[in-house]
Amino acid sequence: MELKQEQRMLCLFLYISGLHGIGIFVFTRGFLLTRNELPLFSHCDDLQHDEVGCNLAYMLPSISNSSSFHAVSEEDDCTRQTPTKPKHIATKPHCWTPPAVKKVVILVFDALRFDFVAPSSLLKDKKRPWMDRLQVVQKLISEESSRARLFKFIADPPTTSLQRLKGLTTGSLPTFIDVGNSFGAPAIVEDNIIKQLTSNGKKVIMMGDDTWLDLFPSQFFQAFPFPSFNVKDLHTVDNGVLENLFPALYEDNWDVLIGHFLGVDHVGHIFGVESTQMVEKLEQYNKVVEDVIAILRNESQKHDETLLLVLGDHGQTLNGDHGGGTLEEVETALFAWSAQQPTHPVSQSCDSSCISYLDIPPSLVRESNYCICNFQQLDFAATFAALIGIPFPYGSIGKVDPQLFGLVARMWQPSQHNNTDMDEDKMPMVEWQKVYNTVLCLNSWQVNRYFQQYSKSSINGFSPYDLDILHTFYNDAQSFSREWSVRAANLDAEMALLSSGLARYTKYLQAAAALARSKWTKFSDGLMTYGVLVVLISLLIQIKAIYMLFVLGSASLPAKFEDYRNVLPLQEMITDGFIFGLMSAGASTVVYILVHVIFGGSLFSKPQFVMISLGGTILGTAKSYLFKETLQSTCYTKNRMLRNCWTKWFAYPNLIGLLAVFFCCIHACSLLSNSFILREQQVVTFFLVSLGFLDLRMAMQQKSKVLQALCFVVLNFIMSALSGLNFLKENGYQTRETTSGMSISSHTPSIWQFVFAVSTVHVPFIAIGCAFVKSLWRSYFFSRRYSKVVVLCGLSCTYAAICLHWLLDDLNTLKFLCIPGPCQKFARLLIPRAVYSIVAFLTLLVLCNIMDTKIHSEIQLKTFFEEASLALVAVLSSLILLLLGRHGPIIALTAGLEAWCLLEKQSLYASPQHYQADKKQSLYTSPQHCQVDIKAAVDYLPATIQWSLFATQVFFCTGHRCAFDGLHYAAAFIGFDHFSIYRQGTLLALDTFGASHILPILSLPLLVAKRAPPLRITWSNQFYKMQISQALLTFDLVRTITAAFTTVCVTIQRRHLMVWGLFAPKFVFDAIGLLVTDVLVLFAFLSVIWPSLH
Amino acid sequence: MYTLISLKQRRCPSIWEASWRSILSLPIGALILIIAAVIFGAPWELEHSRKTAYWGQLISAIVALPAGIVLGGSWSEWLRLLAFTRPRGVLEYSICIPAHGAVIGAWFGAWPMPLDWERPWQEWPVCVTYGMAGGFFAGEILSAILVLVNSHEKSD
Repeated sequence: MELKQEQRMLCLFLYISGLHGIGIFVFTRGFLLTRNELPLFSHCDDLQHDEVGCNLAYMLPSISNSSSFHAVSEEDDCTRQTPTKPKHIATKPHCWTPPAVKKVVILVFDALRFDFVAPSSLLKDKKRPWMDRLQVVQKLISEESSRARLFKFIADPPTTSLQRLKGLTTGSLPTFIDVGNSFGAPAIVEDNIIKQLTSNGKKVIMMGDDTWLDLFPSQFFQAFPFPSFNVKDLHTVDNGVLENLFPALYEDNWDVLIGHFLGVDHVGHIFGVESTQMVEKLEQYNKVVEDVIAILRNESQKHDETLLLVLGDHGQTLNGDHGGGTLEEVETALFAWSAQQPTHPVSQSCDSSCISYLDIPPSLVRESNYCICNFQQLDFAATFAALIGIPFPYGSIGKVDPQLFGLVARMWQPSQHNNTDMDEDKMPMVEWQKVYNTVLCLNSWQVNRYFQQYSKSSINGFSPYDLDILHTFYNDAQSFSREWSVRAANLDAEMALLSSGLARYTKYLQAAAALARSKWTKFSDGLMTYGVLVVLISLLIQIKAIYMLFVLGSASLPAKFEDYRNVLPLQEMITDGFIFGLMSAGASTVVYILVHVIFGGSLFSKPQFVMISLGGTILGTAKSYLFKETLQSTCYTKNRMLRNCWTKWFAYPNLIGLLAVFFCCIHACSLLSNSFILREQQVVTFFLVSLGFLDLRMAMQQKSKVLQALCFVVLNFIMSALSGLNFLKENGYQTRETTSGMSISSHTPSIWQFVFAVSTVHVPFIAIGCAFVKSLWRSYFFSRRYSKVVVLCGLSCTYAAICLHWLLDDLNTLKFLCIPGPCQKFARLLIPRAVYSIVAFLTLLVLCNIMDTKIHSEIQLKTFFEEASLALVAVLSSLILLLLGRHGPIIALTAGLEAWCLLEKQSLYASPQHYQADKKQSLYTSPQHCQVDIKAAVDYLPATIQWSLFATQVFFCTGHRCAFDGLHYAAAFIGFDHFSIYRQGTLLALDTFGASHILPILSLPLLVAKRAPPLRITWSNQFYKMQISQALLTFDLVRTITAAFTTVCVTIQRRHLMVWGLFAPKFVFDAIGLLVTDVLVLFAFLSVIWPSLH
Repeated sequence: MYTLISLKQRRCPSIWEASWRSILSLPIGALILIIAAVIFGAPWELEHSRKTAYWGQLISAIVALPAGIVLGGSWSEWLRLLAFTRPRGVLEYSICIPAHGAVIGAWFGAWPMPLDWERPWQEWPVCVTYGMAGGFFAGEILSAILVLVNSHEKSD
């Protein structure tokens, strides 16, 4: 069966959309690591309900009944306090682990590099000015090594403060997209240590960086937040913390105190690390730590069991950047100092993860007996929870760190029980190991619980293979606790047993953390490259397709049958794709088997196999499409055409076309830089205005449409100025200006406010409505009279209803009229819902009309397309305007006028002088008519690029930004009070992409109608369809170029400081926008060709 | 200034007429060019207005002033030079091409402005002025070359 041309075109569109879909999907799988937030919390009594399988005798006296066991210290403590061993949880003295400390002071120094803290003698580098400034830390770790300890604190990327604080408090690996229930707000919904502290009755005081308040809006007992976004302000936050810190240290009304200093981070951003300001800041911090420790020492009755933790959330490079995953950014420091004197010092061995002292003279080692170990930030939440005695956060996958836990927990682990005659030296060690084993057992149980719950409740969980491996480790570790209950006879055997248990738990926990890391922090470079390549291939195919249509449009007429095949050589493509796919599948199978036989390992997994085969198929189809010789039948036309093209190429209109392509490429290239992404609105306006001026110049040359060209340029300015006035804009890091249209006039009397509202909202809105109704009034598009009447009535109704909705709302807020409650509710909820349903009905009606229109003559075709798209746009724009809200109408009016100017200008390109040639020539003399037709194959590049730039500008002018906090969440709740993900998601998508994707694409046929010359009998009857598909393809191409560049840029910049703040949201918006564009283009194409498909 | 001198020698509108034209064309040209720059996205808020005004005078002195003196109020001449770029004769070459060059140079000069290098020369209108000057001089050189080439052709 031979396919008709339309069907081939449809296949082409489907093919391109499919390529985009595959490319973006694969890329996203490699780049946007997502993690689902589980809204589950750990509770104190979890240990009683669940099958923990740990030997809790050491930890939980209320559970253990084995009183014959050696009376372990804390059991003694507890029995002293509650001698009858109550069964009630409420009176239980502790939760999962007994608290080792009563109070914790956490000083967070933002962007604290490891070499700020570590003694410079330890580091391989030569001494730099910023080193050895925190003298107090170095003094303490060498003089009081039994109570002070320094760790190399290793963060996981992204190393930005917000993600790091999230990671520190939840004990998890925050990814870019943590899918949770919070709709935009950054507040943590997962279980975290702050939440656990509050729910276990501990009071937390926070001072410093206000990011903490974003994350934990209500959990703090007291909070002194200071603004963090002004990078140039070096001292406000720090001084604010200092003012509140020292008074609080003398108080006794808190359990955990958090002080977050931002100075070092800001100094780094502004002056860099190698500046005198940095040295001053570090010396100030040295003083702070000294003072804090002095107070803790002096107020010993309040702080007898207090732990001081000084930590950095991430490091920074020498330029002060952070966000990526380089060593400089990842390595920060954690310093712990316990106010309590240890009862008996246990020297802990430095294991392999610690910096050894080999390159330092032994005398120094002897006098400063300490070592510095690595400490993963992942482990912080679990260790902290274990120390202060709260349940581990549900989603924590960290391991309780032996060094820090040992440093502090040793203090509640006395050795006063001498009932057995054991070695005095080994006894504390064994006791310590027992306790630590139990803690690790609990820890493993909790991590295992999280992993199982996570894979159960999320779609993109872990692969079963990995989970199996993990589970065997877990079972192995758990079997230990059973072995352990049969206790060994002598101390040495017990010790051996304990350390083997330790090793097994550690193995499990490390494997779990490694799995989680590979899932949540590592980009998959292979998948990203694959995705980028597929998108680039689709780019080539689109270019080829446009070229093909261009040639076909200009080809000799009537189009011969084999010409259709050139649109999309479907059979060849299927064959080639099949062959290539089979070949690559076969090749990969052979390689797999070979590797399996020779090396015995498996080279790739099943999904990778599918990917390879798919890649082969894509290559095959692309190859057969790209390298197919175009148009054998019109070979001579092609030569002639090329020659003609080159002579005409640098004529002025073509020059504009070239420049437009150039602008489009420059715009795409500019997306490689973060500053241009930040200023994309200005960039787009700049190029649009440049094209506008070029058009103005051409209009002056032709002395027609000068006014429209001038208006276009001026309206452009008015539109951006209006959007600058009206909307909340975030200007990079600098300032937030909140000048909304309403708040300007908040001091004026309400009557003026009302007049202001009416003139900016209602009048433009009514004007738009009237314009649409009037232009539809004249249309002949509706096949039956009644449908036209219905559409017109419905349209007027929706516009009136939206106007009423806003009017009532205004009157109510301005206290002009007192509107009764039910009436208010009607206005707020029912009117929008009614509008939604009317719009849906009207859209269906218009589509039905499109479907059953019979085109009687080709002349009608042009008006048909024009009016059909106008009707669709008219119906949908009322809905989109409702969603855009009050600022919408005035922008929309300007945009509408601008679009009208743009459309009017198009006749410049189709002006008579370009077509004079064919008037002179008789119609069927072959060389001339080739020439004629070349000009008839209108090139849509400049117009469409302008249209696309215009659409992008509308996106920004309607107050959208390529950032997740730039989404208009309020728009999703127009007409609804309750949240439902699909309904609100649809509304939000309509609001975001409505003005910038839906309307421009649906109105592309208007552009074609204005651009294309009037129909002549010489042209094939496919002419307008070809033109429209050419325009649609070009629009899609322009968007693909932008999206492809964003993708490439994200790939290049994936370790950049701003990747999560700027590039990744931009990528998400562009990728979704591209897919939306694909779908809409397909839809528009279908609606255009439908009448002739039958 | 080269342009000014050459103009007084060649076509010689009376010195009074020339000065009258220059007085008129400088502010009018500045106004039009400032409006164009604002449309392109130059800052128009109050705190920048002084800089924008100075810049407008400067570019007007380069682009509009010479042309204004030579062309006067003839709209069709202006169209011919600025819309069609069809200069005739040495004088018009030396007006038209540097003026185009200055505008194009200013256009390119605006590119580095959004970058976040925080250099002093990135401020409005510094780099635009540099671009403008560069474009102007390139235009001067080009016009000189074109004039030479044209005169050769004529002599041939």
